[in-house]
Amino acid sequence: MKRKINRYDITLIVFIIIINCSLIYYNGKNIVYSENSKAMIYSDNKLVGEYVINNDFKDEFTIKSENGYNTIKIEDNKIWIKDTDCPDKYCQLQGEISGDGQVIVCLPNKLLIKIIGNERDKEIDFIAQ
Amino acid sequence: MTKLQRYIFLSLLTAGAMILSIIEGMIPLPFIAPGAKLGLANIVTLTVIVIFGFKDAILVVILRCILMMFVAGNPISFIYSISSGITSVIVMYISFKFMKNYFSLIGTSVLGAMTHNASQITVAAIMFENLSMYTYLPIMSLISIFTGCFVGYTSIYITDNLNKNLFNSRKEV
Repeated sequence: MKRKINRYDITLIVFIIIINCSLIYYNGKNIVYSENSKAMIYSDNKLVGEYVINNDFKDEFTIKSENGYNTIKIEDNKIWIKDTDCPDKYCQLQGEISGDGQVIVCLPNKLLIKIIGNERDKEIDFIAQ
Repeated sequence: MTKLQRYIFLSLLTAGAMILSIIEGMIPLPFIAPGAKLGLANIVTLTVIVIFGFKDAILVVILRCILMMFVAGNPISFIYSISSGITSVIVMYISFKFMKNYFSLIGTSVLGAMTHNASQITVAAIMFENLSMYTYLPIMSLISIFTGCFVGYTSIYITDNLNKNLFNSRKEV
């Protein structure tokens, strides 16, 4: 067994860094920020709410499931999770989202918020076909 | 090493892995990405792969996941941890056994950490029936390089010392 980091390890690491940086760049380029995009809220894989978010729309509501609750806030064309009872609070840390294709996931409460931009609808229909 | 010594040592390592999992829950890395962890329990998994082999590594991982479910009381995270634990043991064993001449333990543990993330996100995608969380994978993979190097370096020192102490002291006895 080789004890120290060798050139194969470094090649592997550099390879992984290049692939992932290009993927991050590609994903970032694909995000389209637009007004009147739809926020779809799924709890236990069932659609429980569909909101059109824009600069004038403000709302705050709580979604309860058998696992726990999440308080969701919509303001200034953004949506985020304000409060939750899940043990890790990662859904709160994921912050606010507003761009097409961005998601907030709460694994313990099985909650998913996903944004669909108003210009993406046709494309999604195309993919669904 | 007799069978009894082997079992006692494996159970000690399992207990160590459990303690490491509990400690790493206290030091999260939320400033980089929510959900990122150091993967300290991977040190034990890698050590068991090097010293004992594949079967014992799988056994230690399954035992640790079951025990952590009782400690943390979270059956949902059990599904995530056991699936990703088993896949990363398989990948790390393949890398250790067949690519020994190329990768050191650092490369092996980076591969294991990446598999861990990928399978965890796959399980999440299946549970949520949604593919959009794969956008999170590149960020997690970048972090797993850092944590994988850390785990790899630690395991190199641990396996060296264990090899020396275990097999030398046995000879004396």
